[in-house]
Amino acid sequence: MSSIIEVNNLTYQYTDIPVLENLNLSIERGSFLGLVGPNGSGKSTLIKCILGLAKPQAGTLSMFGSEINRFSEWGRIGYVSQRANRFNAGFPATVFEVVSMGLFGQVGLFRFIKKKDRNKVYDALQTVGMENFAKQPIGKLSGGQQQRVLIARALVSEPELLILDEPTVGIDAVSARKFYDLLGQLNREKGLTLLLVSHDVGTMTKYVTDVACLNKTIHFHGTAHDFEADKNLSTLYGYDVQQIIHEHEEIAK
Amino acid sequence: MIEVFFQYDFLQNALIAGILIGFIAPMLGVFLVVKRMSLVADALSHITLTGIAFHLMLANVFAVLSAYDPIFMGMVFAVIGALIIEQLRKVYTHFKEMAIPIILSGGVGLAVIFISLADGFNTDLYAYLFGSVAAVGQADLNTIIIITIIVVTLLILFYKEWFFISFDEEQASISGIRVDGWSFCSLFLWRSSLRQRCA
Ligand SMILES: Nc1ncnc2c1ncn2[C@@H]1O[C@H](COP(=O)(O)OP(=O)(O)O)[C@@H](O)[C@H]1O
Ligand SMILES: [Mg+2]
Repeated sequence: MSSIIEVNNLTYQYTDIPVLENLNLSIERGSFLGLVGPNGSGKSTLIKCILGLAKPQAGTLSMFGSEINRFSEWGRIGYVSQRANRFNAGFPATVFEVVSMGLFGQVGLFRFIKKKDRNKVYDALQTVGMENFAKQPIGKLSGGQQQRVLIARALVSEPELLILDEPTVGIDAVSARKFYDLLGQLNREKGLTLLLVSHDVGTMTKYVTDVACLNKTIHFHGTAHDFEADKNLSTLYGYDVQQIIHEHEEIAK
Repeated sequence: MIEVFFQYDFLQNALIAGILIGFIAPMLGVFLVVKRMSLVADALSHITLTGIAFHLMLANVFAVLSAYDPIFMGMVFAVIGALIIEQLRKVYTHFKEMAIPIILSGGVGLAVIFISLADGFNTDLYAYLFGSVAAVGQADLNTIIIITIIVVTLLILFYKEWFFISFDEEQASISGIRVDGWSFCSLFLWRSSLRQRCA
């Protein structure tokens, strides 16, 4: 297996206190990695470094085998940011237009969207089950539906790596589970590599293949099974015991 | 009533200028509105005044400058103002709209200083502050037509980049679009169409 992302001794600080320190992480192609950690542990910051939105003060970061500063094939990476509805709800764009934005980087300057690209947009909408909403204004959809549209936008450029920062915040439990199902399916069927940040540790660990625990640096990186087996670790990182009990009760009924 | 438009050139010029500006200003303006920068035009027109006042002040000392149209200095100031606004928007990430009033009030303040240094309120200044559509001459009309063509061509060519940046700057930059360059370029375009108001 080859690794898509290699992070070595990375340190990042906004002020004089480092948020990430001597962090090492490698993400294997084809894995579905869940990144967990308490609030303010630096999860979003790590993702910003990976996306080149934040420049680390020390350490190296390579993507698809090339140094991040020299990396330019951003179309190979899809990203859904933490605050999904950061955009203006009144923005006059349809679902179709929003998803097509995911192709703009690939289409390139001085070119227009073609029939082939339109088909890609509809395929991506179909993948997330939003094909019937193509003509709707994005601001008129519910939070969960908007989130699906943003995933479709991240998927439309057919990335090899999809990065999601707390995508299920503000989404009801049933929709969240459907959403994880979708991610699991993309991982197994399309071989998409996924990096998922989530607070919903109890549910998430059912779907991911690997878990990494972050708090300034990576404290654990192993399979989801090993993470669950290590009770200290899973309790420390917010493994939601309540939810498991609840699930068992449901099954018992 | 309508037939007077065929009789008088100045009315024709005013009509054509009005239609062209009425056509391109909203096309550009919509991008500013969705980016919550609708007042930027106001800020840039004030900083243009600063530039004009600066030119008039210099012209008092260096007589050679009187030969040039002060509007060019105004445009230079507006471009600098646009650059500073972009920079300030980056500094105040969470209060991006602050960039506009800073430039607006700073620009007016500087203009007042330059005007005083240039020995009081120069009558020339009125003409730049309150242009009149009825005073649009053939040369102004030509400028307006050229600017309209440039703006429309650029909008068609770069529509998708502007659209993406207006919607979500962060995602746009991840997908490899140079956000800085585009934001500045759109401000500049706005500026150039604004210049017509002064014409
Ligand atoms: N723009 C910023 N400027 C200064 N400090 C920041 C900024 N963004 C985040 N931080 C700090 O960095 C730490 C990590 O934040 P973040 O990566 O968002 O955490 P997480 O996503 O794990 O909740 C927090 O302590 C936060 O206060
Ligand atoms: Mg976060």
